[in-house]
Amino acid sequence: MNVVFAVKQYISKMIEDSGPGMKVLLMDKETTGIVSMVYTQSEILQKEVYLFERIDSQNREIMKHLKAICFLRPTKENVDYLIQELRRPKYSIYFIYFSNVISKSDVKSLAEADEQEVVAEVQEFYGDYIAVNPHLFSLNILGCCQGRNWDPAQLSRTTQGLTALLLSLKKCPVIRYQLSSEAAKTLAECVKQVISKEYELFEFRRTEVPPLLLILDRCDDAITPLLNQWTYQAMVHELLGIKNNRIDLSRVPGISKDLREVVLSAENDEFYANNMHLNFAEIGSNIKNLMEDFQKKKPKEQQKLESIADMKAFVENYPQFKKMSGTVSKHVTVVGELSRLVSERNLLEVSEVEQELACQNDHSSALQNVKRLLQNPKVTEFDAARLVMLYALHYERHSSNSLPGLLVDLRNKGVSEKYRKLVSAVVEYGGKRVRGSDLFSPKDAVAITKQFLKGLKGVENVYTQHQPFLHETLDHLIKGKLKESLYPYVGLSTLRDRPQDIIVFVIGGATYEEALTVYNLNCSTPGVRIVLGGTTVHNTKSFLEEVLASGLHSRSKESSQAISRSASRR
Amino acid sequence: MIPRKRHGAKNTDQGVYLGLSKTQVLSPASAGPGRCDIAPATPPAALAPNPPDSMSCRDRTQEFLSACRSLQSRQNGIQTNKPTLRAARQHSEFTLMAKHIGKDLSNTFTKLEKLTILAKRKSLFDDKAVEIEELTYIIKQDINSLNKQIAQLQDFVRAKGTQSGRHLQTHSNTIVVSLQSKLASMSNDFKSVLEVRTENLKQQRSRREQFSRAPVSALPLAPNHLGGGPVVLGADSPASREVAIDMADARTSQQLQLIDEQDSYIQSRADTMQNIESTIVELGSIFQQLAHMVKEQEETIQSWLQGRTAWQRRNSSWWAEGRKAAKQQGSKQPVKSSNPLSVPCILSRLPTLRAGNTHCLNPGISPSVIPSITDPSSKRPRPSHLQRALPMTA
Repeated sequence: MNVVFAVKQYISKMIEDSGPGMKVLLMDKETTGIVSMVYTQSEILQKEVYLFERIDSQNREIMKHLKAICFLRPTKENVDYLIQELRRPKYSIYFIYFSNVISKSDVKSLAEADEQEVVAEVQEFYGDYIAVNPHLFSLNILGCCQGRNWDPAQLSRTTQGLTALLLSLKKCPVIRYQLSSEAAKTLAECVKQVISKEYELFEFRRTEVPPLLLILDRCDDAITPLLNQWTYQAMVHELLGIKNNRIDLSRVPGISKDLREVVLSAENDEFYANNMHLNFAEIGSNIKNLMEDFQKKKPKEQQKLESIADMKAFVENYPQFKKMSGTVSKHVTVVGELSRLVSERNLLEVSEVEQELACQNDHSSALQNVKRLLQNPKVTEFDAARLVMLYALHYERHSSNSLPGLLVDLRNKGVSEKYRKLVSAVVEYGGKRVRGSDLFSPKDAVAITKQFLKGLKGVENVYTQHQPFLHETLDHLIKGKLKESLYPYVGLSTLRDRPQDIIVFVIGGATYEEALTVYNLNCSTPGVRIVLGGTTVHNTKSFLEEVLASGLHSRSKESSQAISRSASRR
Repeated sequence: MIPRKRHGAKNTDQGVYLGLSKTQVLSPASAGPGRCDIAPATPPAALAPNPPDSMSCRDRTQEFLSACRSLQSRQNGIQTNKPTLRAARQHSEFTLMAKHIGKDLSNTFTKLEKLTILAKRKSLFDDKAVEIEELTYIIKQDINSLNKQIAQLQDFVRAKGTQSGRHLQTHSNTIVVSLQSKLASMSNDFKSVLEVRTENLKQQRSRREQFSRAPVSALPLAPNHLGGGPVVLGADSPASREVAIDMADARTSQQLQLIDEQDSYIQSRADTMQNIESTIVELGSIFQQLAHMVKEQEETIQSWLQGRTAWQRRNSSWWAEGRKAAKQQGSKQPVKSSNPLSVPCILSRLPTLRAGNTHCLNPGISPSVIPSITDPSSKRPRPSHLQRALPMTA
């Protein structure tokens, strides 16, 4: 149940299968991302892959001395490109790997194009998803839904990605889905369909307890992606944005040229791997240690270069030193930028109120705090809108709801129209009407006592008291207490025992906070392995884009506005 | 329906796809778990956790190849209308044939080597006559069939000679000539081996006669001796007589057997001799055929040469001065250059061929045969009208 390893293995196998000799790796737009998440260029260079090309780039040179490894998604365009390529082969021999099941007719048309007999292999390697962390995968789809239902193209892509994940992890799961979401049901059925259609692929060794695929919808928990994060990975994503492990730092003031874009990959960055789940304060002290380590090494390297032996030692150590200096400067820059943003945007204060809005039920104090922060000039319009969204979601049906007043405050603060519209859009997206379960007020006695106890104990850290709703869902699932009325099974097969291997997929995108929850659950519950996936991995910004893309409220809003306008004219 | 095979098919299915399996080093240990993981063929390990290095994948290569094959067969029926492709295919057909012949040649060479070793033995007793005979027979057959094959190849070349380019034809001819010369040299070797064998047989016979004349000449006497024996002995005692009779019987039967053996041996020797003689005669006919084929080649080359001289005559001004000399040259040259193409000449030129290198078709003798043709093209840019001046024998 390690998705990074699974994809990596596929890539290694591909390269191995083509035998010794110089190779070119031919990819498409998406597989480039898939490969880059698990392999660094230097790593892949060591395996005699010297050239990386996109299949859709037109002016590739003819290099008959290279073997081509084609790793492509089985899309129509890719097959067309490949047909063109095979008609006029640029490389000596082709090893073709599709990242998913390819249709018989496509195989046939490829065979037709292979007039010069350059194809050595055609295989399906199911690495059709972006492996972010060992327990987190994404499909990099932003805006998967139109209204409440799937965009058909994205549905098929998601189904492919999810089935590929199941195949690569060798799981033939029992499927459960969130009843309140139509999209979840559709996806669950699509996955089931593929499994029964390709049953021979899904013949894996039976485990005692069959694995479980749980399909959820983001709209059930719109709170989590709206919160500021304080653990390293999640924080970087929230404030700077991680895209396929890459961070764009070009907007950072005074950034040096080679740090414009940095790569944060746990696979080959030890510091990051050790610290990605730690919180901001811990990162600070760890960075300090790293700096000290580095400082200790630095002068030593530069001082004694008097004898040949010294020089030799220096040259030998230099790459390591260079690597370390790269790591240090990278992390120092990133953390420096984070702390700059935190203080500039007054995020500590904002986050405290956010957490209060998300976790406590004290309406008056919450309202007071939000109002206070809206007056603070340091709080950006983005954060202000975010606070109002959280308020709107939590106290949607509260008797003394004062959302209109807050919206007026927002306008007075000069927050743009776009964000003010988004407040209602978010409520439409993840409001009470849509949610299948209650995010805020616990119903059963156990949950109430739990919350009461929590209140008594006090929270460990005021900034990280929020637990994503997913935690509760998974907790119930592991204990076998997840209600079948809310999360029904697809088909007849049900799970009697407690599940061991769990794959959770969130339509509309997962978050790094949830990934952290899954990571902690994996660590704390022996015998249970959980993998989390989503159509994408969200930060607040991308989540708001997702809400915008789904487009349901803007339409209803516009129409209502149009009506009101026409009414006012009369 | 094309069966969807998922794993390992490429390497296990013999005779379908052999392109890569030879060059690929796929250790079974590393490839094994990766390929057989999906197969539910290991029930005892069913409950064990999956090995960490296994992964699921599906090999569609078989499907792809079968699609290729079905397409190919369909296309062969329709006849492709792409001339370049067809030419390439034809040429590859030629190469295939030539390769096949080369392989056969090398096989026959190994047989010949074996035969040589056997034939050169001079031991009287360990004479593997049967084996030698068999080998001789086989080699004879081989040479015959090779001869036929080369003739076919030549026909093939001639049949498509008009369409293909000049260089291609030169190349094909070179290959044919080299194959022929190799065959000729082999036949020659074979002949010499057979001669050696004959010589050996003669020697053996003479030696045998030296040693075995006595018993053979004594044979007629023996019955008298023995016949007399029992009568004399019989008077003494019945017991000893019995013994004597027995002995006599045994001895006579032994003697008779000896005669029989000797007879059959001599007979077989005579047969062998005859065989060898007939083989040599056949070889002679093959030689003749070869000579004939070479002669045909020579005609082709001659015509080229004439073309060349014609071109020379027309083009080089200094040549025009000595037109007479040129004429002489023109008439002489083909004769001269035809000499190197006659069989004995080829045979004398042949490098000592080893069985191993015959299958490689690098035309070892071509430089000596062809240079007069290729020279002009390599030295000067060829004027376009030369193409017209070059009559192709088709």
